[in-house]
Amino acid sequence: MSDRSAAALEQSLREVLETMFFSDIIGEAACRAAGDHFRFRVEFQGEPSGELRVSLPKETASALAASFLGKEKDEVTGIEAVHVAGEFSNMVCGCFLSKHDSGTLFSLSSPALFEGDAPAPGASTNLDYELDEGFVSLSLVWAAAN
Amino acid sequence: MIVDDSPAMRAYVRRTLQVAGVSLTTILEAGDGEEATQVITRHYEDGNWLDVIFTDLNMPKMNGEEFLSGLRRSATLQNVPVLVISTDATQTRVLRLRELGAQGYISKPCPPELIRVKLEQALGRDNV
Repeated sequence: MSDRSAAALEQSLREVLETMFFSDIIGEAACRAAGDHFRFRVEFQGEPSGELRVSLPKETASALAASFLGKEKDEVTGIEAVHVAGEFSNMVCGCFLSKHDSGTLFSLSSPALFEGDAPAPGASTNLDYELDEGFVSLSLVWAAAN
Repeated sequence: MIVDDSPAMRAYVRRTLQVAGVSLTTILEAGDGEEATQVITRHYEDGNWLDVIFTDLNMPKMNGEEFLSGLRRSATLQNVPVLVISTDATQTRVLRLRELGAQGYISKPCPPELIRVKLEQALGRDNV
């Protein structure tokens, strides 16, 4: 499941970046980007259930927000960067789950900003990418089956 | 009208409509189905109407399916076209939304052109 999940996550990230942010993946990052980050958690319920954590350096979030909102980078406010980073997390998670179509309905939580480590404890998949607009890290956890 | 708990997504749809040159006098916004219902009620009490509604699915208080069901039970609003924009593109979801009376479904990520095309289809116009 892990390899397939990683491939589906990367494809989902690429689709979201290309379609709505005019951006793309350059390659895997050698390590997690330093500096201040926005970290979002999106929980999903269905078959299967779990959680996706998305971490973006604040500079990356501002650059993506500028593309998304059709603004110059210096016009993007802090709150706009947060909102766009949350929506970005939501879209990557939803796109990923759609590729896992199990014939059941999923429900997603609203993206929640959180403090702490982006790699989720017990994560089955951790991915770090360099983008043409910065960096992004994804961490996926499947909930234990009942 | 745009109903979405994401201010970023509301801004994206609004900008798409404006850039596409869609002729709309007013674009109403709400963060969930409950707020949207209140905004719509006031809008109609003031003698106005709606051409089309874009709505998200996953929202607090009242989600998109509940909102859509309420619209379809309303004698005043049952014929207003509703376009759902959501990340959930599973076949099960799309079929369910069709049963509930959604006019169209837009799966995120969605390019601006797709929003414009779906709007044209919903309004039955060749050129918006």
